[in-house]
Amino acid sequence: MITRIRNFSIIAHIDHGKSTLADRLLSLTGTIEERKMRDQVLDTMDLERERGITIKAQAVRMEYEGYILNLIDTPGHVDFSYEVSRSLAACEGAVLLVDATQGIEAQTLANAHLAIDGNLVIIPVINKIDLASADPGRVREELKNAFGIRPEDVLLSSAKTGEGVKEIVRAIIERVPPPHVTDPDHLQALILDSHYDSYRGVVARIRVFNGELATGKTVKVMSTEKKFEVQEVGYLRMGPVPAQKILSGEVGYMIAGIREVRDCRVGDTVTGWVNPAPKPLPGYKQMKPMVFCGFYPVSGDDYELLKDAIAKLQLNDAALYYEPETSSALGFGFRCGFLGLLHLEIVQERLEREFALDIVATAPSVVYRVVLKDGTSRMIDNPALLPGAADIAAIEEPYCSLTVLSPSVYMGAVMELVKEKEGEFISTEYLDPERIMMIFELPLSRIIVDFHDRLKAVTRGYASMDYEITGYRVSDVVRMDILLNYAPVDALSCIVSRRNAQYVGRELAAKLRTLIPRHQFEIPVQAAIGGKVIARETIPPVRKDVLQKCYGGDITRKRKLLERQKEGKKRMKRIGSVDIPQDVFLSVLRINK
Amino acid sequence: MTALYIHIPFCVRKCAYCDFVSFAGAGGEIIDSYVAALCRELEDRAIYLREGISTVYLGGGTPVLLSPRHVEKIFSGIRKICSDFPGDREITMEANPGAADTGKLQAFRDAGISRISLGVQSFNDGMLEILGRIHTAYDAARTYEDCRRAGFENINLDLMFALPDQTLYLWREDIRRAVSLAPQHISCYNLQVEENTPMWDKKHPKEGDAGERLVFPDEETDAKMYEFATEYLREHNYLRYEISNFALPGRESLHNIAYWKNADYLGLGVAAHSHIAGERWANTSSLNDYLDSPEKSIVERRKADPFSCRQETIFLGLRMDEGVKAGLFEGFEKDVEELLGEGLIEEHSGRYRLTGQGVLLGNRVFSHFV
Repeated sequence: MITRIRNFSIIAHIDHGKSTLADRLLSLTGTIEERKMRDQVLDTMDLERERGITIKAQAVRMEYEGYILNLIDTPGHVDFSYEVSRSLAACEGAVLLVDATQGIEAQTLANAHLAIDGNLVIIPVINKIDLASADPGRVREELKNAFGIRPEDVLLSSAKTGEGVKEIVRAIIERVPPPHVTDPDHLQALILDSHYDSYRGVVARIRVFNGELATGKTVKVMSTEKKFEVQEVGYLRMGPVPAQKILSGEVGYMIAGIREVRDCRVGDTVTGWVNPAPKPLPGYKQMKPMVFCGFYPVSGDDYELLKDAIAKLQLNDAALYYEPETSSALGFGFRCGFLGLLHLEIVQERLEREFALDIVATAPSVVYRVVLKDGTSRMIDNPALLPGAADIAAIEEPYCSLTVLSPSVYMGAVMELVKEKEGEFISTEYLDPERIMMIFELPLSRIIVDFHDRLKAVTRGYASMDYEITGYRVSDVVRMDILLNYAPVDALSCIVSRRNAQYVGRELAAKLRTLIPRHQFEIPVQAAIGGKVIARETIPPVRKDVLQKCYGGDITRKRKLLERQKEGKKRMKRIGSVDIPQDVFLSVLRINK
Repeated sequence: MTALYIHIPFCVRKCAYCDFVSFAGAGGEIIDSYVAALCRELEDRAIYLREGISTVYLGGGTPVLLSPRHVEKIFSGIRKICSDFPGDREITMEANPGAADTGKLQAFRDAGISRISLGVQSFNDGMLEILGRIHTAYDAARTYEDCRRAGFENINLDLMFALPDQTLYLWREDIRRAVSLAPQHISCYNLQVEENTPMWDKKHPKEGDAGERLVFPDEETDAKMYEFATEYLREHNYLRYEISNFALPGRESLHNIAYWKNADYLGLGVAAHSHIAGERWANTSSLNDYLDSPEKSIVERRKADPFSCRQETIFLGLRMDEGVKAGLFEGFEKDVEELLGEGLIEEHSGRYRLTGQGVLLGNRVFSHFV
């Protein structure tokens, strides 16, 4: 019975208790037995567990007092805001979970607005009321100022102790409307997420809006018009539970012999091959990578392994883009595109962990639009490929609108930071007497590297942020080259604002001096713009490393020390005559600029 | 022939930098039972000594905490295996300044000890205090004279450099002072600060730790200290035969040469290491376990394959000034070429040996052969 279905998600900031609440719901509804409970069951990837965030959308079907409750979990990071918007599109309601000790955070604000704009019923919940520092009164005030939520609609809970959880379930049943079918004759199913299973091919999580999706049916994905035969459908409980069909309003999964996740992208619509829906569900867009960097194997022999590994990750990650690239410094590798810096770091970490590859990641870059004097323009995602200054009429770079929520005492510090990052102040608004919402505009390139860490640092961890790309703007930037031992290292080139170039060059050279180990010879480190050296540091030669202690006859120990030294050297990338540690390329970017 | 090492894991107090297995303040009874255990282990391992004993070395710890009676007991055990013992073999005992007087030293000499290695470390009282040594510079000079008076004619002085707060000037003074005593042999080790020592904690204080923080000489100073020592000692006829060891001609330590030539040696006692016929093993570090069953004290044992054995012969042999026979480098042609190109090794009458720079960057060279 469609009237007894409730589709909802939980909107919350990292650490505000979303996973704990989800666990409570799973055990309250008997979806999982208490004794099988692990912490935060929904985050299945190791990385998610470690970082405490959900990267991939999840869905789980629970049953409670004759109602079917579909919890559609959403990713919790700004890099994945499109996935969030699609997950929300599959729901009729959302639990807005706010930490009673912290208040609303920037991403919660952004996601809650997404939900409100999508006409979702919001169930505001103030969580962690068991903590001594809980201040539900203040959070109620914030909810009222930010979203116009009436204080009497707000629930109180402690997901940790279980207090108030039943009331949340009741509110979901009573306040969230059942799904509404507009066109029962034409199948329309929204793809929430898909992942690749090496035995079964692509498994897509879907929400059926209209019609029904049954095993054996021939369907197509609307943006590509590709045809597939449905091999299996079912519901998602703690694992997949096969069913004959999924009806309008329901959430489940579909396996249809699809070989690549690229053919089954988040936000796309599945409809019947015969009798298709006249239009796809609204809101589909193909995600464009915003941040690029090069991945190179430390050892050239690992090129094929790296290629296979990236291809395997891409099977599961439609937003990951890659193509072969060659660097004179690093040899053969891949230019990869990501949704944001977190996405980049996750991919890098998975390559290193799951595939045991030693890789060098070059400095991340945004995509610049370079307008040439002949009137044509080019998109450049690799600083080394920037045309010569003589040919360039203008360089444009992506700008974004940045929202920062912070205690008002840190307003000055945040302003200072944004100014340092060449941002512009747009507006400010008080959420409550102590908390402020600030909006800025600044280049994406200034955000992708260390902005979030810096913001946390200057606000003692109290501020949160969210951003969206607003478009391209002309920017006064230049390419800075780095020379080691007088040879330019293309992989270390970066694009910086002309105004800051001198400072960045000095910092970069100084940083490289500390990161590159001493060699037998002196190594000059230079930063140059258009052939003109603007900063120089010198790495003095190594003088003495010999171990003089005898260790009695303990040759094994001596051997281990030498092996460690050898191993350390092997993990470095030799460029010309200089051995560079792998992490140099990423860490040099983490200087203030 | 097998070199015999005997570990005496007792000392009056642990030094701040020491990570050897040694127990401070043990009473006479424990030492008695330890010596008895050593004799049992010796008897049990007799088979490894059937080719004969080349040298004996009593190290520690502080071996002079033994009584002459203990030494006699151990040596009579050795005599059962090797009838012409001690003969004119190099039989070294490590001694610490102030830990033995002329009479005791005389008795050790009568028992068969022929060489003393004196752990002076520094002739600067400030340095000695930082190192946590219990002796003074005066003790060092006096004990050296006591050794001479006791009749020892083959004496090594151990010195350490690159100590916290040590300047090049202070190190020069140490070397000059050592040479002025005219020992037969001088060892110069640069201080290695190992984990799990009090000195490590002072070198790497934890955040918020208000305690004393030690400042060590930089790499440049360390290198200059070593270069000064090499040069000054050579001028005074102490020739370097291994990275850390200098001797008057004919007074090189035969026992230590056995290690560097990757020859066979048997180690007796707690935490002692052995290398016999391509096999390496280590004894337990637990004093109790050792005292309980010295025959079953081996805790790690590995048979080295011929390749890693050759690697070890190379990286140990390169420590010596005479170097290693070129023929042994088969299969390492690329490494040799690279090292020759970098000026770290050179060829000399059919052998490869470290150059002046290679000696300073020894680890860089050795790490090619592991």
